[in-house]
Amino acid sequence: MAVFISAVGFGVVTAAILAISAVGFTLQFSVTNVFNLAFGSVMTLSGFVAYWLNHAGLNIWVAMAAAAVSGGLISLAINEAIYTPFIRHGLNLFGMVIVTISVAVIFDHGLQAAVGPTFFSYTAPAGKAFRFADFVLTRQELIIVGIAVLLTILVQVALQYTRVGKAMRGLAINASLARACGVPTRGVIALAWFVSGVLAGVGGVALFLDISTFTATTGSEFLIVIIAAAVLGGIGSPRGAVLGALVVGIVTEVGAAYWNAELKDVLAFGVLIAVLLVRPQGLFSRLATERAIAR
Amino acid sequence: MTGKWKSFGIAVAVVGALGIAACGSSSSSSSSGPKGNLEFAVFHAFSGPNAAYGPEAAAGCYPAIVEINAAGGILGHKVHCTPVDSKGEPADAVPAANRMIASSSSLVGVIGGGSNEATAVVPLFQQAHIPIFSTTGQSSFDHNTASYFWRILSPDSAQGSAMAAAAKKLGITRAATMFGNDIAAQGSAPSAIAGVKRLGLALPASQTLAVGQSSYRSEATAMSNAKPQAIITEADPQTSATYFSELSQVGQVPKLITDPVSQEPNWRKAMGGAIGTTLLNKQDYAVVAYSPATLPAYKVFTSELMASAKHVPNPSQWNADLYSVADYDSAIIMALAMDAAHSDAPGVYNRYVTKVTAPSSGATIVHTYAAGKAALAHGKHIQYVGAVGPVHFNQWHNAGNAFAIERYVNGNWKVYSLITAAEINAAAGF
Repeated sequence: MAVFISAVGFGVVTAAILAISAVGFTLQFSVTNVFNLAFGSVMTLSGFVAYWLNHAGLNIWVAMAAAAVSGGLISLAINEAIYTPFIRHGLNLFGMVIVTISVAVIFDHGLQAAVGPTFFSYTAPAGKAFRFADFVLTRQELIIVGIAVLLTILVQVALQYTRVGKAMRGLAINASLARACGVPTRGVIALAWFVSGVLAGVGGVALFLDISTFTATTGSEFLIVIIAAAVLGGIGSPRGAVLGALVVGIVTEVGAAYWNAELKDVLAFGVLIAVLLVRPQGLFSRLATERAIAR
Repeated sequence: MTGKWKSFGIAVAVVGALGIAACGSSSSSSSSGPKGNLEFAVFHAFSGPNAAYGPEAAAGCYPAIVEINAAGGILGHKVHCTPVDSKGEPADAVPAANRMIASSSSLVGVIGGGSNEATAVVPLFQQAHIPIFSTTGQSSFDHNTASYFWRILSPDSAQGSAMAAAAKKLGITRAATMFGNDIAAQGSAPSAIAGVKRLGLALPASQTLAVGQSSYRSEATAMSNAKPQAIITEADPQTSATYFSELSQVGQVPKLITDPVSQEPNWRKAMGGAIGTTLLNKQDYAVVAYSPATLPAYKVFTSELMASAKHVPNPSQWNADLYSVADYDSAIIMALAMDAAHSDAPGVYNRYVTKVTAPSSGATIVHTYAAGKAALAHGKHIQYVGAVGPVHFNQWHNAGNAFAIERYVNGNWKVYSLITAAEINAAAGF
């Protein structure tokens, strides 16, 4: 029982880290319909901003806040400078995916050329460890879980109760109708990119803190599991992304504890396939309308 | 299918298609050198997760060509190193190798082909009659029959046995194992586990990790609960750093019995960042092929490495890296074989590799390219004793090494203890 409890606890920590990024990824996709595979690159770039600030003497949590802002700005800039011109030219969904992959490759390889193919770590001690039987939680992990909970609640509340949140949801359901109803789509889309980037920045730093060390390509390497969490929960649903992250995190940790550590991914993605067979739209998604890329 | 799901389906298809396309479109930086020049290809990963392997191999090639060119080149030809990115993946390595073979008329030898791609590319170089000096540890090459394949360092199976023998030598009675599930790490895992059992040590935990995960907390907890005195381990830097960071949070990091990977700057940087350099240096016992830095050829390697700063950034970081050292020797051996054969044709000089390395009565022992070239010019037989020590190739073109346990002390690797052949044989069951 102690093993199970600790595995579930570890799964929750993993889920919290994945959830921040998964919410960011799915929020932006739901509003813009751009399947942004450069999201991992934004995580990495922001992570490096935090790294440079952290090594300049800044506390890691302050550096994380700066990474969040820089992530938002980078995400916004990518959309404005690169994606929007393609969308204006009427590039289809398929073409946009290619563009986002190209951006990811350019950013990752450009960054690797600049910083070198080596590993980086933050100067941030894990802090005091809290033990509950076999389950150990460090102060750093506790803070990350707290940040994840806070951010996901903030996003959910904003989407549910604020004007701009409602506008985002309107865009997610039907962009043309939202525009006809007077929603300032361009501003709302820009805000979605910014918020998504903020979450990528926080998620990147949280992930890199958790895995202890990172390279110029680490964000992109973890994108697949972030997308998996978003898809499992229902692409376009922040609440679903959290639930998806919980399933992925807990299944992998319980799988590693009871089954075979080598096959934890097999188990997690097996569950993903099984859930999608029963519920192809994911656990929470309500988006099911014919949509094009929002402009 | 609704629009949302249709677009998602398209996106997934595109990701897959692009992945396949990327595999087939990897670019190599292969190019022919100036007319009359000869070319050694450094065929390794220069991008992707194993992007450090390429610079590591280049840190062996460039010092060698400094030495060779300073001695007048090979048969009057200057020689240069050409980095070619294999990306550490067979799907990328094969087209890169094919392009390199097809496009470079001055290519005379290949340094590289790591464990991840060697099986895929060695047949290509064999077919093209181009010698390849590989640092792969894969056991599938233990009885290699490809005449153009050469391996200076011991195979992973010997490495694993040496790691088990090291545990015994260190007085360990409870030794756990933790290996990544990638090809490179799995090479030494079976012989290490078998060695632990054969030597009568308790094996309280034996883990194979899926590499590149965001968490290994459950695995680290299981390892901590097993309370081993030492962990025999090989995994990539990212996996090692995440795992041992989490192990240090749930319990104690015991002695680590590692392999040459732990001497790579990237591995130490990642692990140092994860658990702290003090703890890492205190607990790490690296089991590596014995190659004392006092060997004459090693001193030359060090000197030429420092002279290669133009092509090798921060060259001192590679001075204790056994793979760089072995790659240096590989280039020197190929150059001497060409001199001995009086030909730079790969199909000709390949047969002379053993003639410049095998011990024989009356052979002049040389430690540098210049000395070897001079002796050959005087009609003497030579035996090159390189920076890794004597290189005795067997009938399968494998050369073995003695092993040592080394520790990182005050910024340098120091030999802590030698592991004898008898100790390794006991672990290997010979």
